[in-house]
Amino acid sequence: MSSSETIKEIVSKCEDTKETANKCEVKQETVIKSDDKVEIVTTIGDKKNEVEEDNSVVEWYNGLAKAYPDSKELQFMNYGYAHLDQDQDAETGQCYVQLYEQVIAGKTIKDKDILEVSCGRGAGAAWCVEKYSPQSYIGLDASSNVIELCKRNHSNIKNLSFVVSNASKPFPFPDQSFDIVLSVEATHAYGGPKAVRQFAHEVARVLRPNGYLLWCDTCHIDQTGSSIEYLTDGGELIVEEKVNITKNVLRARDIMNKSGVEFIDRVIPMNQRKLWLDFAGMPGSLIYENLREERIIYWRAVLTKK
Amino acid sequence: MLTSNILKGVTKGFPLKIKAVKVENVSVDYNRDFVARILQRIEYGALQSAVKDLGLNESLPETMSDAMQQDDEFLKLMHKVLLEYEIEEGELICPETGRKFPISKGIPNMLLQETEVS
Repeated sequence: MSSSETIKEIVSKCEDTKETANKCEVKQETVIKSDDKVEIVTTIGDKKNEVEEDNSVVEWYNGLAKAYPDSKELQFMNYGYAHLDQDQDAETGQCYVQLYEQVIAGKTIKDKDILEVSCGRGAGAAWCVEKYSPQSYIGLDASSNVIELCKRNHSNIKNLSFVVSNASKPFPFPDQSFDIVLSVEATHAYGGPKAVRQFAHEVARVLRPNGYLLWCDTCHIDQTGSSIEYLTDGGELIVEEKVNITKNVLRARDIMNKSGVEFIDRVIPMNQRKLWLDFAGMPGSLIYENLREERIIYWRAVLTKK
Repeated sequence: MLTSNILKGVTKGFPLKIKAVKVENVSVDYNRDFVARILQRIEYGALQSAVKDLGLNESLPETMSDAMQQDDEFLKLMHKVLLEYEIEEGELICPETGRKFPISKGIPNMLLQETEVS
């Protein structure tokens, strides 16, 4: 959802997860950028931006699911996609399903077998099943509390099922089980290049020939490789199509700003307000500025098996 | 039960044995086309093992022929077995390693430990 650095920052400060942060030896440096800007740089262990086993992210989402199970504002956890030349409705959360629509890129879902990795609370899955009528749809996520919400909210859809499993470890499915794997704004949180490469290897294994990985995520351009390269440098997946949708994502954040801030003001304790604004990528947050300045690019891509 | 038919253990382990502590009967609207399509993906032998593991009072034919996949009686039986038994609490057990994956509130937990991944 937001950059892994921001998540680690949140983890290190959030009262609920102090214990996790302490175990990970979190160090923080405060860097004064200017009179009104302070940057807090957080390092977990001695690897900046890379955590061997990134349980902090899973625990963050487990915590959210426990604390805010019914908030409709948290049913989708992506930044959203807005068309640049149309008015969009902030109330219905249209931006969130539009991101799924863009990632699907017109590929056939009907009567196909779909796997969504890191499906979150399943709102995207439920929407896809209703709109596109796949033969089967499995939502996978490492957060057991989140999958519990999926089951609670979406068990009425018979060809939609959910499983708790780790996206950056072997998938519990046989070779060539799926026509499409969907990955929406998730790989940045897997814990670094090694985890994303492992994910890509498993995607290639479970995809049928002529199957697709339909993917979108943020990519930092100041690192040695972006997430797209980590998906392809194993040589098992190739990019068929790649589109920079940063401006559309920023517009979605602008449109959702008012309702997002209203939710945060209403529900979140004051001392966590800034963290949540950062987490949500709201205008004014570090991630928003990085997207605006294109230090981070938001890509969507269609990948196929080599 | 539908999900358990396509999950597998860490390397080759399939089919997973099922041990159930709590099984619930649910009612799902019958959709002939859906069941007929799903049957093409099902490992029938694995399904028979699962029914046996769970001690369900259902008698499945020895083999599943092409003709049977069009037969209404058989399709209704498959609908019942695949969609109307929910394993709420139990375990999935890898036939190769014996590794147990818990099922809790109807959700299989396939999370692997770091030590299980080469």
